[in-house]
Amino acid sequence: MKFAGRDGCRWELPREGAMRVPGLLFADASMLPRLEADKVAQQMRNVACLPGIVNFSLAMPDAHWGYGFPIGGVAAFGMRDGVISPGGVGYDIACGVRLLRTGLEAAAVARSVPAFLDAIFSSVPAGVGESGPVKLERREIKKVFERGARWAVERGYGSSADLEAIEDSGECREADPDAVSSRAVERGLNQLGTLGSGNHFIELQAVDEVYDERAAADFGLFKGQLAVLFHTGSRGCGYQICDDYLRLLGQASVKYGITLPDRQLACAPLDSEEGRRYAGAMFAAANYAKANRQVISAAVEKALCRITGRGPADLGFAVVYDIAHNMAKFEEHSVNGKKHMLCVHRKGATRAFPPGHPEVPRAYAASGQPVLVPGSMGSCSYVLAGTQRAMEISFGSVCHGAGRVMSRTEALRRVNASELRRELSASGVEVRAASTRGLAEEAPCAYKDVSMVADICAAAGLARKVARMKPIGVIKG
Amino acid sequence: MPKALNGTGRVKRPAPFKGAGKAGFALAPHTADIIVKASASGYRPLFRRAARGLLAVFGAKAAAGKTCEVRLNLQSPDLDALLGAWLNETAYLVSSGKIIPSKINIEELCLNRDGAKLMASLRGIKPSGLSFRREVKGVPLHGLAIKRGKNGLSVWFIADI
Repeated sequence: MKFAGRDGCRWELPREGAMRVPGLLFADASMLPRLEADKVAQQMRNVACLPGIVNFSLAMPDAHWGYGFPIGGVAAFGMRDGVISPGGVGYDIACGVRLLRTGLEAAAVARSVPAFLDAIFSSVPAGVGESGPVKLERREIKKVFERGARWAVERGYGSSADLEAIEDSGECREADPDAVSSRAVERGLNQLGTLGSGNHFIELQAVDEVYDERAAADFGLFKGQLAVLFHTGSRGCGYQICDDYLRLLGQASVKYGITLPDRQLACAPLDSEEGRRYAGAMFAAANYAKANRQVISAAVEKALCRITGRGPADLGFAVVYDIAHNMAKFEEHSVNGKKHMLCVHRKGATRAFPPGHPEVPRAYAASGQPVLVPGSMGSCSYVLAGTQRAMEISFGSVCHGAGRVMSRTEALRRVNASELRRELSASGVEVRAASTRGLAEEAPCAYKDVSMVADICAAAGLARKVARMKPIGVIKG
Repeated sequence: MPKALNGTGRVKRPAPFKGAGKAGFALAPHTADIIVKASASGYRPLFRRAARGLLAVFGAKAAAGKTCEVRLNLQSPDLDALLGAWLNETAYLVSSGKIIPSKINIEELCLNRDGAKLMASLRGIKPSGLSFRREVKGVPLHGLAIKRGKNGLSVWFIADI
């Protein structure tokens, strides 16, 4: 299965067989052989077979082999004839990234980085099977499902100003707590405020390059600034909701006569009871993820205040943005010159709305929505901004990270975790890790060059580069 | 009358994947996650070995705790879906600290017009502390299809980590 070049950074997967639309991949020519070998093309093709898909089955430059959708996959479905699929969202529903800014100069607090990391590491449980600082009753978790980060703010975790800088103002109003199973509820009771394992992280970053002064100023970023970037999601609660609904929607696919090229693409019409229930449960999980990040955010703030001896205002601590990259969302987009409500699935892809869009926070209206693109623990991360062009060609979507190129097995074979830790330390990156093995699996060599990924997104017009950050301290789950 | 799938008498030898050894399963690379491959002469040992492979991904160890038993009764439209349900149920039990199984007994496995059905018991330890080294979010159905070859049954699946 081969891609046909459209221009330097767009590659079309021609329509064939049961594909309802072609595929469109954003990538550099040098990435193609690996993407073709990595089943990305096959998975794009499978997604293109789903009912009601609009325009293209898309994949971003950080794409790689996933399950169901490729990681980096984006697909939009019509509300009347389209479907919703847990396979287009994934197990870690609303897994996402939050960027926090401080008023501190990174160089001025360089000596405190180990203390910062220790303080955060001790207050944010990281690693497998951890339970968190918040214990919820069943009645209370329903409020988390309904109110997301707003619930956390109302309980004293952060401030209401934070909500302005969170996607959906911190709460998905479409959430249906009654669509969440008892088992998913049980799994969520003790995990609020935990980081998890795998590729989840908290990083202290120094802003080392500003590309767009005006947008950086809007986002409150400046060169040399200390910032905190972290990545986590809806934990066991989200995994359980995905599992519950894969089964239900597998049966629904049969009921509605939908032929699946891959069982992980189990789906139901958006306009069906099953589809509505999954959407309600998925948004509830998204609210759980937003509350989780809000609780962690407050813990990070507290830790920084304690080590610096400053109060929150004096610290200049604020949320720059918080955005999910495993979600299906109802959004208005223009298709063939007409506005339509669509259900946009982003599996390992980030929303990237343009300046002036009503869903972009007012403070960022002139610059567009911040897009957070983490690299690996040894490489830089980027802050981008959404564009009108992204609305036109990718349903307002862009990459979500560097994207893996090497399996965990291979990374473990090649990388010695102790040496990696020493190398990172020598290059100015302090590391705390819940698991030595996990550290090796997440080694920088396991990822694509994030700068190349960001450059392709910028060249394709999907986003504008605003700032680059380099890690100075890393906590791995 | 349900068709019993005890796997006995169909083939003499399973066809283990490279590296599978006596365990009848092997872990293989995936770009972001881990692939488990299992093979066996029949369905019951295949389900058991697939679960053992999943436990190997978890790095699950019977830590200190009380001995316990969990009984499972699962139904799915077909055997592939049943295997997916079985593996996800096992993943849930380990993740949520209900049990670290040391003995897996597939008591009944059958397929009839109403679908596929499994009854199993897991015996092991209900851990009092951390009992695995890697979190498995779930077992996607992507690629999960039991194949019959001249040497027996085989399957591969992804453990999402």
